[in-house]
Amino acid sequence: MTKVIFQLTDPLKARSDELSKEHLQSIYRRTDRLFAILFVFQWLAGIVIALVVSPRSWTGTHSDIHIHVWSAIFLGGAITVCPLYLAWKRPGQILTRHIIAISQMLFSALLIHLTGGRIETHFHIFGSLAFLAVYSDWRVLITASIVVILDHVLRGIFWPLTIYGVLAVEPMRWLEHAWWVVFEDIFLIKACLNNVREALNVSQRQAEVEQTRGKVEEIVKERTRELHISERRLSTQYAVSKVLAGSDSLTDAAPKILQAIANNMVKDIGDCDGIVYGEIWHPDQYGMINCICNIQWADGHSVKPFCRAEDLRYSPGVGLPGQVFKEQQALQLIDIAQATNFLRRESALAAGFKAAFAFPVIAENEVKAVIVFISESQSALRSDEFSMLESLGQQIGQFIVSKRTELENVQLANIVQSSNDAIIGQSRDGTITSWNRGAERLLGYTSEEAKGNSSAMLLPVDRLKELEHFDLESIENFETVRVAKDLQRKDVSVTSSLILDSTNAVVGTSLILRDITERKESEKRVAEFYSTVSHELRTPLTAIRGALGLIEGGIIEAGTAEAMDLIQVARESSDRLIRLINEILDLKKIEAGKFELVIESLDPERLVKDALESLTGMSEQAGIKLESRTCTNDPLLGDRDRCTQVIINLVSNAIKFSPKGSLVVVTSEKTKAGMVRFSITDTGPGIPEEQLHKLFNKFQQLDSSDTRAKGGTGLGLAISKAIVDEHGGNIGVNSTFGVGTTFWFELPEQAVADQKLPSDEDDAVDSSVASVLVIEDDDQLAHVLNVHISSQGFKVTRANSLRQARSKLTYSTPAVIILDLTLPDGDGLELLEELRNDAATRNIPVVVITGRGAREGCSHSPMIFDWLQKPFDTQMLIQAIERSLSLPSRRRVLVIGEDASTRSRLSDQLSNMSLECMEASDQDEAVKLIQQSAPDLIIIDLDVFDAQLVSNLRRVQTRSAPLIVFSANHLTENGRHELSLGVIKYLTEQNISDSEFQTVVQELIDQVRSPKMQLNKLEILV
Amino acid sequence: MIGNSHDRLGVPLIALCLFWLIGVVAGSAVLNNYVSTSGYQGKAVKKWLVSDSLALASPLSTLIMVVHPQCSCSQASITELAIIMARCHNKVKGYVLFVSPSNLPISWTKSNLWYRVKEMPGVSPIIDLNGSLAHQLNAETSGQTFVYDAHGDLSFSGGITSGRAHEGDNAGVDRVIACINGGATNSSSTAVFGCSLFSCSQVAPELQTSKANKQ
Repeated sequence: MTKVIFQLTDPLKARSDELSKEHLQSIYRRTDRLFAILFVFQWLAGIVIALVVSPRSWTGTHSDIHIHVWSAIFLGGAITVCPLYLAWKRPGQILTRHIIAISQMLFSALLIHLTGGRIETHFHIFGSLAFLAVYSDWRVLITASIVVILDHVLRGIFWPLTIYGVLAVEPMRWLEHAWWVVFEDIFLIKACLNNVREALNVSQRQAEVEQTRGKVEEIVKERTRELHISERRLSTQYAVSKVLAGSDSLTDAAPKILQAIANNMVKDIGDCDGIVYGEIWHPDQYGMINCICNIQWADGHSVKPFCRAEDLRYSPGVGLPGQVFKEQQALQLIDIAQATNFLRRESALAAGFKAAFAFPVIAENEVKAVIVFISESQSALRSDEFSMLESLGQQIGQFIVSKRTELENVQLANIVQSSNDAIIGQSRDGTITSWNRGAERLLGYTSEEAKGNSSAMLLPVDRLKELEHFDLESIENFETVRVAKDLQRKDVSVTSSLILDSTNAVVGTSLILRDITERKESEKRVAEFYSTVSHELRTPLTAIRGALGLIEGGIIEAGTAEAMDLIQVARESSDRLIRLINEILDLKKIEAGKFELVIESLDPERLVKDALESLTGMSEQAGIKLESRTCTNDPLLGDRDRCTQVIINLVSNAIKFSPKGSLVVVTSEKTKAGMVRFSITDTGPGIPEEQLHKLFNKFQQLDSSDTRAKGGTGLGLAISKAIVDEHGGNIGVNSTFGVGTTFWFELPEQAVADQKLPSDEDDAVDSSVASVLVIEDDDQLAHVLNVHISSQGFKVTRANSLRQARSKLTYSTPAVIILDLTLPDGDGLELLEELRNDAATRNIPVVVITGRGAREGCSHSPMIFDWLQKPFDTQMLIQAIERSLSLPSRRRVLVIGEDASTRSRLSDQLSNMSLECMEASDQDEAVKLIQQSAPDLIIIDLDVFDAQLVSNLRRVQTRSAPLIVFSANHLTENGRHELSLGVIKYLTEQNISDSEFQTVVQELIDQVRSPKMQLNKLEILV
Repeated sequence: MIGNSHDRLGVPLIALCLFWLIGVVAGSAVLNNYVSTSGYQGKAVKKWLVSDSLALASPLSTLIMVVHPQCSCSQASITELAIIMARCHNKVKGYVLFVSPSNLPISWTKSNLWYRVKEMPGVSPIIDLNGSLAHQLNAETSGQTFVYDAHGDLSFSGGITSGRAHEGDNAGVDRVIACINGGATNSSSTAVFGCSLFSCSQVAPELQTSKANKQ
């Protein structure tokens, strides 16, 4: 038999005792109620029994109510009333159940009396004892038994006959009756004790169950809370993730993040269902944190925030956001009123807020943002809620990083997809795993067709071994061949990289294939070009060297006709070299996008004429007849030199490829589209149609063998096309193989309204008096230029440095400046800048001669009249000088006079004629202005004519400007004689009207436009 | 220890309970005293008297019990008589005289006691009109029993219950049985517990005098 020993702890024992007491108390109360009912029943039963058994007592024929009836009523009532009262008022108390025990035994005695002492009624005693045992309180049985025994003892003493049926007292007779009661009591008491023990055991077990249940409930409660927090976290994370997934940046997502956190967490944390305010702070590039979003909710509705947080900027550590940003952990202010580092305390308290908390958004070990919530709830956050907020911050941070990574990946994928190069991924076994659009374009396979197949399908049979190399190592720019879907071989440059997984194991190879077909072809053409150019350069150099060597060595005597022939050979060879170099440089300009045109109105007929004239020698040598057929006289817009170059290129090609004795016809005609079309038609062999599209490519000659036979670099057509394209025109070719070819190009026609071509007479300028300042450090070139320019009648002054040039410009103002940019003491552009800043020199036209590209790095275009690149044709320089002097620039007039009112009146009239007017009140001032500004006309207002003054003015002038002597007095003949030069008009103030004055001035100004005419008229007048 | 604070008893309550206990004990004592109080018992006739209604059952003993027909206490006497008759079967002839006042209907006399006796073997119920036989026997209390031997000599006179309306073993029954069985030769007597057979107006003048003298 197992003995159960309860080792109870104090709380458990106390609870067990409490439960057992409650259990027994419950039994007592319940039994009290049962006995109360029983007593009532017994009372009524006793009355009934009395009324039935012995209702009346008799004396003869007289009868009275039997004493049993009265006993049943009153004595029974008395016995009943006390336990009934106690059971009602004091149920469960020990007195109650003992009184009940006493009463029950007394009621047994009464019933025995009422039933006439029937033996059956005596069982009521034993039944009552058994009933009393329901109390499970053995003392109740003792009390009841004592009552029974006392009843027997006392009645045995006082009324032995009625109880024992004997007449004499038998002192120990009660023991016989008491024994049977005690006999029953033994069992009943044992049963009571067992019941109590069982109740105690049950209570102990119940206490244990309760304790266990309490623990379980605590665990369940804890788990439930954790589950709730987890649920909130998940719901918040889900909501935030959903927001972030649909947003591109934190700024976009900020309001929704605040909304999601407020809905799912904040109001739940503090049981806050009132006002909540949230904001997100973001660090800027200066290390300050700025509020990028703030929202306030009242009863779930968004309302205007309590403060303008967007205007605030905090340093790290300042304010709640700054503190969280600095400490990188969540913080809480349970009572804003007590917070020392909450800068918006007053406004927050005024808005009804009481507490705040903030947590950082952390990613990559730095705070990306700080999220702040302010509420009216002062509930303190638990540690797990803190960790939940920090976890949420990390989630947002990670999502930001992943979003950025995702965007980077997308961008990278887009880069890969949109790459012109073919980018192919392949696994270690050579299976193609990725295939971009560049690969589709290069190799013809679509992504679906290529993926899953072996990359070996792209390799020619003779290059299959390359697969092994790409698997083992990274290779850069490996030039090889791949086979496209259409079996065409493609020249490609392959760069391969090994693809590594997270464990640095090689999982595949990425291949970048660049199509180098064109480059290969270009390289081939360049190689051929260099071969050709090498030949073309060496040939004339050889001729030059040979010719000069003959002269230098004295084999041919200088000055003889043979020597002149050799010099001519050298000159022609150098021209040939210059053309070649120009073409190459033109090509360089084309490639560099620095091809610039000087657009002007051109006569088609003259263009063709000039071109054909320059090709006369070539055509005669080739036995080709050139013919020009002009069908239009409408001018066109274009760069003269370049247009001529195009015609020369095309005609020279026609000459080269036409049979001897044939005719090359150049026609110009007007098209319906408003273009002037030039066509060059030959009767050469023609061009196959399939090669027509290659004609205008660079370094392109249809047949390399033609190069040496026909000469040329293969650049002519490419340059011609670039020139025509730059003009906005069209160029093309029509050819019938075996019959002949017609090259043509079209240039835009100039509108008739704009048409005004200068006549040859206008261009004929006598520049003998115009001074030209040549700034060139190279003595030989300076000498050549001096000879050429002087031969055209200009006065030449030379400066070999910037310093010398500045000096010369101080004393004189040239009509034109020829400027070399590369000078020993600085850049010529510096001088240009100085000239432009000086009013006296800013209008001087400058012709730049340099080795630099056209107007390279130059912003002085208004001053620079022309830009000639070395080597240049001296004739072009002369033409540039002549054109610069014919510019319709604003003319300057110097008015000299003592009377300010007269000067002012004259100035007004001159200004009305769009002339620039300068005023001088005396001779010194006039000399200074003449030296600075070189006036085109000088008007002298003199009361008394002073010939010495005029003479002095003439002396300081670099070029002679016409003079108008405007005097109140008539000039004497002697005075006129003294004005030996320059004075062309003598006006008397009283004899001339304003209009006449303006007419005279205009005539003189017009004469100044042409130096040649000026000179002529001066001569006549003098 | 089983109990709680509610079990603390107030002195007034305990005193009240004690008072109550005394009261009910006193009441019980009164009841016991009533039960133990015997009725008046006249001097029994020593020799069987000759009557038309009663015949000596010689050689058997003859038992005569006089009862009040409505006396509830006599139920116990009849019960005890049944015990005697059971124990002394064929040794005794019993008669139960029901005192029947002439001014009352016979149904009053033939109560449930009558029918109970009528069913009892060896016992004959006899209506004693106006209690003439009872008077002859000097019976005064219901339940008084007389036993005569085969010779007509009185061997017992008295009650055969232990109290008023109280069944159970008692000395009367023991003595009656002993007399019937011949164990007791001298006449004996026990107290009689029951109602009075006659009211004062029903008692004969000579008896009233005799009664008064006794009292």
